[in-house]
Formats: sequence, C-alpha cells, structure tokens
Amino acid sequence: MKIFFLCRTGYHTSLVAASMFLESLSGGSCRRGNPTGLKGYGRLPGKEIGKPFFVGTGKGHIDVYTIGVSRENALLAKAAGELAGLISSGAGDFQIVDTTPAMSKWTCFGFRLKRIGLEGPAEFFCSLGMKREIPGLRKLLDEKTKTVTGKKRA
Amino acid sequence: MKIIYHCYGGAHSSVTAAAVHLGWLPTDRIPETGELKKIPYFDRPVSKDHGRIRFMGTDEFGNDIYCIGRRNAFREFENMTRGLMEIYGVPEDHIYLVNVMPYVNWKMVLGGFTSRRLRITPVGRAVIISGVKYSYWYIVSMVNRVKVCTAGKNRRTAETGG
Repeated sequence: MKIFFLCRTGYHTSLVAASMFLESLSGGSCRRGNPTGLKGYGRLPGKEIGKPFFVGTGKGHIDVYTIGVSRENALLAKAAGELAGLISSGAGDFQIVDTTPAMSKWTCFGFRLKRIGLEGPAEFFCSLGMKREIPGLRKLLDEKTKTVTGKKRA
Repeated sequence: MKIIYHCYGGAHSSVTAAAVHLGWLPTDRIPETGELKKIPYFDRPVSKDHGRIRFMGTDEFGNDIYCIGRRNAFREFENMTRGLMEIYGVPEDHIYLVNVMPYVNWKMVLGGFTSRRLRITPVGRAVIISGVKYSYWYIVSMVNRVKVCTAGKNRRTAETGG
C-alpha cells in the first residue's frame, strides 16, 4: 500500500501531513532551518518538482510519499491517481491525499521568501504556517485515511 | 508499451497526434474538416477533464495510446510519471511521454480558448481546425519519430525478454 500526500512544493504541508500519518512529528529534533526536525522540510524542489519523495514506511507496510504539484493540485491529484492506476495495472494499492486545502498562507509566503533567498524570514513564516496547518491536517487525515488504517486516527 | 500524448487541454493537438498514430487520419494529405471532427474527444474535453488520462486505442505494434491535458504542469507531470514508474518498479520504457505543445500554433490556442473556455464552439472550432491543418505535417513527422523510437524500444524489450 502506498499513500501520496500532495502540496505546492512537496516539502512543506504534505511532509507535515505524511509525518503526522507516520506519527513521527515531534518538536524534539528542531534545529535551525527546519522547525519540525523533519527530513527534507523546507526544501525547494526546483526542476525536480513533481518527483515523489519517500518519507517512510508506516504500520502495515504503508509506504508514504510526498509530491509537489505547484498550483495545479486538483489536476495533478487526478493525474497521479490515473497514472498510479495505469502503472500499478489497476492493483488499486494506493491513495492520493491532496493537502493543499489545509495549506496556510504563511507557509506559501515562507517558501516564496525562501525562493528569493530570505532564509531567516522564510523559516519563521513556514513554522508559523505549519502550526496553523496542523488542526486542518489532522481533520483531513481523519477523513482521508480512515479507509487505509481501518480506524479513526487519534 | 503505453504512449501518452500530452498537451494543455488534451482536446486538440494531443488528440490529433493520437489519431495520426492510430491511423485514423491520413499521413499523405491534410485531412478534411469532417475527418478531424470525427476523431473521438476532438474539441470535446472541458476544464474538469484536465488531468484525466483517456485511452484512445491500440496501434499496430500493440502499444496503448493515451491522451491527457495537463495545463502548464508539464514538468510536474513528467517528473511525477517517472517517479511513480520508479516506485512501482516499472521499466523506463514502459511509458513513453510525448509533449505535443511545441506543435501548437496561435490559431489552436485562440480557437481552443474560444471553443472550450468561452464556449463559442462554432467559431472556436473553425479556428482550431484551421490551426490543426496548418501544423498537421509537423504533427505527422513527430508521430513518425515516436513510432521509430518506440519500435526500437519494443524490439530491445523483445530481445531481452522483458
């Protein structure tokens, strides 16, 4: 089973959602440039945008990935589902979760700042955005991953 | 092998290329307006169909031909396809992506916008057909190149027993 979390960059909201799903999000390993302590958080995908990023394997051998989709989240969520179906020959062992609706405007502002080289403010706004995203992501995960885990996640 | 023709809306250039590939359109002359209108999905998909992969048919070599409209997310779509193939352990030559956008001219853009977005289909469709006819030989030569490339890949796959 594979789950793909989608967001604008693939390294912000989707990564937080993926870590929440894997129950690996903690503030214990926070360091500069990475408010969450998550591997890859805050990276800018550049030319590699769209390439799935492996986050980890969860309970029941569920592989979790993130994908950056720019502004075309609805279109690429549809395309990712169709492609995964086509490539896996209709095995149906995947789920696409679009986290863009839960994305905070502060996170967007943060990665725009990073794009123009303002690392410090970018880090501040991304961490602010992340804090605001967490309740929305928790709700989204409750709704979307119920079928995967078979139970409502805490 | 699966061959996916992709363009902005998946309604004109990619559909025309797929039709040429499948032999539904002639390669020795420019098709008539009626022939173009008869192609399935030609000037039909709307914006909610963007991102949907549509099966068009199977060519003479057994390759499955698909079309998709991916708006301006060309890089995201190609990277995502390659990444997913890697994840599922599918050989690189299992899916062949063809970007048809370089063969789209201003008439096709204007006609597509008028027909699909503004929904003034009679006017837009006439402009699109004129644009498709203008780019037709470019599309035919691109499809021929695709056929040569995919035939080579098919042969290599057959030789290695893949």
